[in-house]
Amino acid sequence: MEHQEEMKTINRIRDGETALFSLFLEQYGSQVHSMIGHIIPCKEDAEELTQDAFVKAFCKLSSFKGDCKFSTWLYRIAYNTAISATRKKKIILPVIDESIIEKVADEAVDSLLDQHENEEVMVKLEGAVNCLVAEDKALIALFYNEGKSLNELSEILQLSVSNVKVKLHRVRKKLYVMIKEYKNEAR
Amino acid sequence: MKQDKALKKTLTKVDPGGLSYGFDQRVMNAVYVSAEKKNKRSSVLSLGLVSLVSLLIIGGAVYLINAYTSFSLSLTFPQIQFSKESRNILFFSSYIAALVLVLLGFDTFFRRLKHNKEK
Repeated sequence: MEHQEEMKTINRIRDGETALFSLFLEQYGSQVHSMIGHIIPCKEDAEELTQDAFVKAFCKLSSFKGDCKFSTWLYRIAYNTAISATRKKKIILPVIDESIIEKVADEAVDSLLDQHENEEVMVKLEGAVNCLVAEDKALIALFYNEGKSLNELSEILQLSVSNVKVKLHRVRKKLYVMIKEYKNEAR
Repeated sequence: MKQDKALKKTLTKVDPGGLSYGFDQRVMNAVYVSAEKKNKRSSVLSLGLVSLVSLLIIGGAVYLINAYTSFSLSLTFPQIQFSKESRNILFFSSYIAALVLVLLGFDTFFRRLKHNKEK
């Protein structure tokens, strides 16, 4: 659905044609669920939060001005819903020293995160991704899985583009450190 | 951030999969409920607003009449006297009007009852 067509549909929903909202549900339901699923591991909770996000989007539809894509706006609502849910549950995650992250070379990270055929790296990477904080998980899920651009990410996460770039680099370095620590622990 | 193939592959693996059967229907039901609530809230708000504005206008009018005009609200109205004939006609008309109102009330009541049964 193009932006203009989306705006027309949104205006019709605002005027009382509630059934048309199912078009957005069909189009974005799986994508939003996938993003929330990366933040919330429990399948049932993820589905419930997806429902909450869509109902919230419907209730706030009058505040959608059309200055960004509808999907971006919807993702922002879904992201905030999922992050709020994670804050209610206090989970203790490993903390990595900032100085260690800063020391990691970009080339080393590039090389490690490209080893998709190395089974050992893949297993450790999965473990490391699960140990990331919810915000970082959402960031990489949106960038790598949903294929969102840096501009879209900045709108969804309400950060500047340069901030998003910095965060992405830091998450990759964090993953690198976690994988290396696993290796050291194994020895 | 060249390719990060390993990261992409891991995230695809972690993907929660599809939505359960009937998810869309459940969400749409929740959406309809919230739409109904929204409509009710807006109609109650507009009714409240109209009542408030009406009260303000009436209050303002009463105040203006009392404060700025010589018109007194306690004016005595001329007494209306009915003849015997006109009194009979008045009673008969009132009886017919009451009958019509009762019948209309029954009609509305039975129509609603039928409508609810059909649902």
